[in-house]
Amino acid sequence: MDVLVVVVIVTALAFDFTNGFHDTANAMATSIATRALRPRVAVAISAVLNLVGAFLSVEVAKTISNGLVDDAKITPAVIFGGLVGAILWNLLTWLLGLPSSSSHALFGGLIGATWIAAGADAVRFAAVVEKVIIPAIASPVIAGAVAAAGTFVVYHLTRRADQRGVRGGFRHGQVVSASLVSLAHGANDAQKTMGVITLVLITAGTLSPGVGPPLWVIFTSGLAIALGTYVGGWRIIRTVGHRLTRIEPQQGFAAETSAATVILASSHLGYPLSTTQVTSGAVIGSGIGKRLSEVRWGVAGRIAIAWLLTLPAAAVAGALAGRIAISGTLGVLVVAFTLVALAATFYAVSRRDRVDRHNVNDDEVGPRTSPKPTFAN
Amino acid sequence: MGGITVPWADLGIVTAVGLILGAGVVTLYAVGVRVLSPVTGSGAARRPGRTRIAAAAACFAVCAGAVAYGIWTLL
Repeated sequence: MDVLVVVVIVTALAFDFTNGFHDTANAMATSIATRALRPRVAVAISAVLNLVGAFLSVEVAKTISNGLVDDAKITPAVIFGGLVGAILWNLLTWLLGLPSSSSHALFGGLIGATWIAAGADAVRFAAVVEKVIIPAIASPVIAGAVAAAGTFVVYHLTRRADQRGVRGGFRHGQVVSASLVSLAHGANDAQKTMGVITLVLITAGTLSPGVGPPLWVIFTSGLAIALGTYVGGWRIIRTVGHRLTRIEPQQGFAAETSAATVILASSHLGYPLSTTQVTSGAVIGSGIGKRLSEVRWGVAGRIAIAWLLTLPAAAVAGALAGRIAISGTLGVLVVAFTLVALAATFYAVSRRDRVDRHNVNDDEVGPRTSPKPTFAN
Repeated sequence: MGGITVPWADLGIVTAVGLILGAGVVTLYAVGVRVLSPVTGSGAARRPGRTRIAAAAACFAVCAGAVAYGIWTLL
């Protein structure tokens, strides 16, 4: 097998790993914030379900570009550049604690690398608008509206009940709803890496065109996203779980259930939505459903800016990496070493303000109004 | 740039399914939790009667069915 192919496969698995830890918050942030699950237990459950989800379907893996670029003009070096752009954006937004879309980062990276390697004609801008821009605007609004409606009804129905029992009941419900989001995430996001690796193997002549991913590709992709999930993107978990709005179990359950429903309904229709944007929108909606002032709109605004920047920023990074990588083996090595150096720098910077399972629930915005609950398990 | 089609029908379906099933499951679960919880100020907490337990179980069973259907759609 060509060295470049091996490098691209390893880079794809590295992207899958960052996808996992970047998106742990999607499923588990609210369960950790409401103490429905202990942080380590939450990420362990999410990791296992992401691995299981990877084996449920390979439909998405049939295409990595989703029709956004001309697949015929994609080479292993272009894919490598795109992956590097996506990984760098994922690491930067993780460092800043911003829940941006890993899928958009991957698409942005591939668009940038393809554009620089094959020209603007290789990018299908109409598809970018239809499959990325419109869903990016619609998905958080839809999920937010559903979560707001659910949260409003929940508080209305349970306002006269004993709140201790109510919170306990919803904490148990959160375990199931968060697990469903994890399963859906594994089924959707692990397939993107499977698609990347499968396409590289096809372009290298190792696999025949039109075949699905081999079992070892499915397993390694599922394992990489599961390991990333288990490591836990604690900085993003803290943002989604504590800094967007103060979440109670009723809100957490409503947000997770709404997110799971919207993700599953859109997947069933073949309509691509970002799980990150859906869950973040649902969390904001759960704050609106309780009380409009519950939402910290400054944090929500910063997240929205990150969403707007994800595609172009990853595209620029992907274009730069792709431009160097297509020049030859030396270019690939330069990009690979630069990626490792920048990743190490991001990690070193993150250690100055370390966030982990021990301090992820430290509430920096004032004391909780409700009594500190006990764990459900 | 080619013609851009906004998939209004798909967006409408996702919104409708989300509101009916998503908010519906949340509502049903809330009803189940509510009937099992004593009312504030009703004195000492009592164990819920058989009727309440049966009603709550029915609510939770429908919610479990919705989760199972959700998993099935992934396959």
